[in-house]
Amino acid sequence: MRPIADVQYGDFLFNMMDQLANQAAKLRYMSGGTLSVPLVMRAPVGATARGAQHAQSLEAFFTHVPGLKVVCPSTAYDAKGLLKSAVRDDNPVLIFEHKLLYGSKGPRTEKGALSPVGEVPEEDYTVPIGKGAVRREGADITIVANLLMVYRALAAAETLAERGIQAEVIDPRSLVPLDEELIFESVRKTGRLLIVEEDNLTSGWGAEIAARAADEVFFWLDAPVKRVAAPDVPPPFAPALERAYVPGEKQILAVALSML
Amino acid sequence: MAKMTIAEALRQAIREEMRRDERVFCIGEDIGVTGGFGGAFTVLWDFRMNSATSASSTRPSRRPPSPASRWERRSRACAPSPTCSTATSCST
Repeated sequence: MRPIADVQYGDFLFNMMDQLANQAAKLRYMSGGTLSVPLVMRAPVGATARGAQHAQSLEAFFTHVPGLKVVCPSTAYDAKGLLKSAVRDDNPVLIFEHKLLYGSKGPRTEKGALSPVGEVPEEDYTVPIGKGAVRREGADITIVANLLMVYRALAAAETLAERGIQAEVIDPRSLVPLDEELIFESVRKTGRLLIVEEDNLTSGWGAEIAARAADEVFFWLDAPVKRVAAPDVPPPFAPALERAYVPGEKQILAVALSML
Repeated sequence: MAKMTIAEALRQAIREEMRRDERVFCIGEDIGVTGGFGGAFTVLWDFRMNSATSASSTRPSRRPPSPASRWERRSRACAPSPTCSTATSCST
């Protein structure tokens, strides 16, 4: 069987950590390849004024579990193509979807949603798991961002462009496996790497990319690798605090400018 | 090419994959339940597989008209099979 499971909200994946991290992720390895768990687990993430237990960005937790694949589509094209790849994959794949990007018209549409609308081909296609995408080309600084942060990074890149600075925005689309060569190739061109994630800073997936960049492209760097992420506190419920918590265009802009 | 939101793209992908492979099924809150939330963030709002094009009989559209309980309704809508009566115990 090939289940496509979903959970509202993604935060409740913690209730199934044994099934995900101990069972689904390890059965292929522990059975010597005789068993597989072709599970697709869809989970909404992101802070949308619903409090600390309904607002977390959970990708990083699952990137730490060998045996799980982790994808995070930010466009309609990628959502369809990655879901198809996930269904056809014989391993457990977690798909993290951002609540502010769904654009759904049902009763659960969130305030402040961006609702990006994109072109999707009529014919069958897949987006390979493990391939990132360049959302904007530039030669001065590389900004890696996923989900909602792609759009905030693109907004910051527009403002940077008005000042004559060309930012390259990379959407990894898949965190495990990670298209690190796409990121390294960009850093070799720009000499600067800024990683933007909505999750809180400590042990985020951005830390992993920063560490790998230090390993692989250190001598191409013209500035220290920087991260923009939420502070290490639970996502606040008060809307004003939540706005301060989730990284925004201004923060990305300020840190990017500090690196140039 | 058609323009659509991420929710619509996910819904279309799920529908196409269920048609392509009869082993594919959905499990989640209120999927196939009229008046329910239709899965996480209503991505599967009012989701029905047309029985004429459905790849198997285990689709939400074939669920019993008046299930005894909410739990039974959910499990039948999601993963019924001769060997598996509840959605959560299925490991095959």
